Amino acid sequence: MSANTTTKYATAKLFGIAVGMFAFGFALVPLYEIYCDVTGANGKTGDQYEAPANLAIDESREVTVQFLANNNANMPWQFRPSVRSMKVVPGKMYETTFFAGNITSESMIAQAVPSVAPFHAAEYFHKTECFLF
Amino acid sequence: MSAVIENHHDDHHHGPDKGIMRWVLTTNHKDIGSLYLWFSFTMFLVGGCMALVIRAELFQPGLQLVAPEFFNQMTTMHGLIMVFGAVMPAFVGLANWLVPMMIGAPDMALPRMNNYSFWILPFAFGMLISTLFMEGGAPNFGWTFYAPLSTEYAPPSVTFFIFAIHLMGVSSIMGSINVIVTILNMRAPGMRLMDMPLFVWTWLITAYLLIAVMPVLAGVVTMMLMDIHFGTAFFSAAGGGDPVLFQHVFWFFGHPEVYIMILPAFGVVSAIIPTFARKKLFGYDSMVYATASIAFLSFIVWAHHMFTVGMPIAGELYFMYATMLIAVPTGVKVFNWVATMWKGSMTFETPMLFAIAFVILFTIGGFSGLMLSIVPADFQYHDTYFVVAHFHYVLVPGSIFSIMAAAYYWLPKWTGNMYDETLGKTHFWLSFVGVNVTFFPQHFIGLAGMPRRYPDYALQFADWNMVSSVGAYIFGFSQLLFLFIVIKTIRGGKKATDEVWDGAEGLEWTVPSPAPYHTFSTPPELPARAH
Repeated sequence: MSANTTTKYATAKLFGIAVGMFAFGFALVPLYEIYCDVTGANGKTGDQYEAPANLAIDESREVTVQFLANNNANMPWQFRPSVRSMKVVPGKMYETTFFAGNITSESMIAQAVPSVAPFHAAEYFHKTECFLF
Repeated sequence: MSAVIENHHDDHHHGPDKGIMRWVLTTNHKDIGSLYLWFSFTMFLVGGCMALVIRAELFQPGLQLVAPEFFNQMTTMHGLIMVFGAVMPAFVGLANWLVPMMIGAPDMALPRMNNYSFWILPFAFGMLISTLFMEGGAPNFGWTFYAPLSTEYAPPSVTFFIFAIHLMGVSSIMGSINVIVTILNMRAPGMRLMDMPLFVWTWLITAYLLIAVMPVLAGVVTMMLMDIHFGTAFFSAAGGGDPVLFQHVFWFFGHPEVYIMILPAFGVVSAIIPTFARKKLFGYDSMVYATASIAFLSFIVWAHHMFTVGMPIAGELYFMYATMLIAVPTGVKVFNWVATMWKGSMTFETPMLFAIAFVILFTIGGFSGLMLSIVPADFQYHDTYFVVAHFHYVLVPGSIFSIMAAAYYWLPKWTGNMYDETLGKTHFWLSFVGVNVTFFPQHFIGLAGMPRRYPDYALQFADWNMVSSVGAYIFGFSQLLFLFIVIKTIRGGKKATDEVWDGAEGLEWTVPSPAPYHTFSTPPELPARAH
């Protein structure tokens, strides 16, 4: 085996590692999503918008849920929760609304990105209907 | 194909070509090493000027000298130029000069790729520095360029910044491939891996780190490019992405990067201290294993740069413990350097002064790092001058001092002339005082709450800021003395012997001083092994 063959082989292998790590960098994007979904670590509630099957209702405990709406500084619309705070009982379904108003004279598209905090609570907070308008 | 056989002169009658094309086309590791070192010295002075602009503005509270927007460009460019233009190319230059000689090889494995690796850098940095003169100014989002500041709110020059990073990454990756193949394939017969000088070991490990993480940096910077120009939303929450993702991917590169900037320094110091203590390096095997452990651990601690982003407590605890673990192999190395000096027959020439200062001051930097690794404490220290003090201690009296130590130690081999010892010691003491006066007070203002990257500050931080700025000017101007010393040594001085230093070990000391253009064209006979 001549020195050149070894050099070429080693160089190709190392170059391959570099390319692989570049791909890994991009793979981190879905990996991050998956990790956050599994652990609930980013405030996403992580499940589909469907009514949960019979959940036991625990009347003895009350949880306070607070609603916020943060507008991007450039957004010329009104967006706020109708109710700022609710006391709820685990297992029961509740409904609340948000007010969204377009105060400009043109039609616009807006997107709201939901997030639940603290992270530990996120996995227990089931949204059954998503809103997008 | 011509059938005429031409009468070639043997190359070794000519020596290197004359004129500028010698440097443009060279494939010689010594030439390329010199190119890298001069490039890095130039970038060090440019980045240093930016630091002096920063410290001039911070000399007193109030906004006196530069607009805040320009100040942000200075902090960003200072960081980028020092990290990517001064420290990293300096170590590559040392690798180019020394690795082939230390293993008894005639040159690097891929000499032409070596040439490309260097020449990419002046182009990349020319482009980066030219952004200062572009519409909207230079990058101003910090050397860590977090999104969305660096995507949605960046000046138009961000695209050139991204291109420059890509180029530097390509240069580093090619250089690292070269280093690994050279070390694995071209050692003199009989030199086992555990016989290699520690500088070669640390560069072998550093090169693997570079190949692993520079592509991730290329990835994150490409994602930025796509977010800015192609309508993707990797880092934009509104589009379904996540700014914190940027921080994770960046620091996955960023943490190994800082070890890339220190491991070769460990190798330099491990070469210098045994020489001037006239004693073999203590614990060679454990030094190798400790270096490898540090490199491995560096991959799994990245989120200690992001303790305040809102990670779950389990994540924070894991990264805290893993980070603290790195202190163990690092401590092994520090103890081994001290043990090498113990009962040694020591003299304190300039390289040794820089090496001993490295051991002490890098350890101080390591201690502030340990403080930062404690999660609840970091919530106070994060983004304050305490962090700035920490990383400047490990980088300036750490990496930079090791590079200066290496320059003084090996200049007689490279040039054939001894440097002026009195001037060298003067440079050392001025730098030592300067660096400590600059950065030690930054611990205090950080603990008192001064945020980093601020052009102005509250009055209670004024006194130490003034002290720090005075130190910065002392340190900065001392480097002009260093420049003078290097040029003076190249031009002449007391002739150096082959061995140069009493007690120096290694193949590079068996060739003449100055080292001939081609060394080890035939592999050397290795001296009898001690272990």
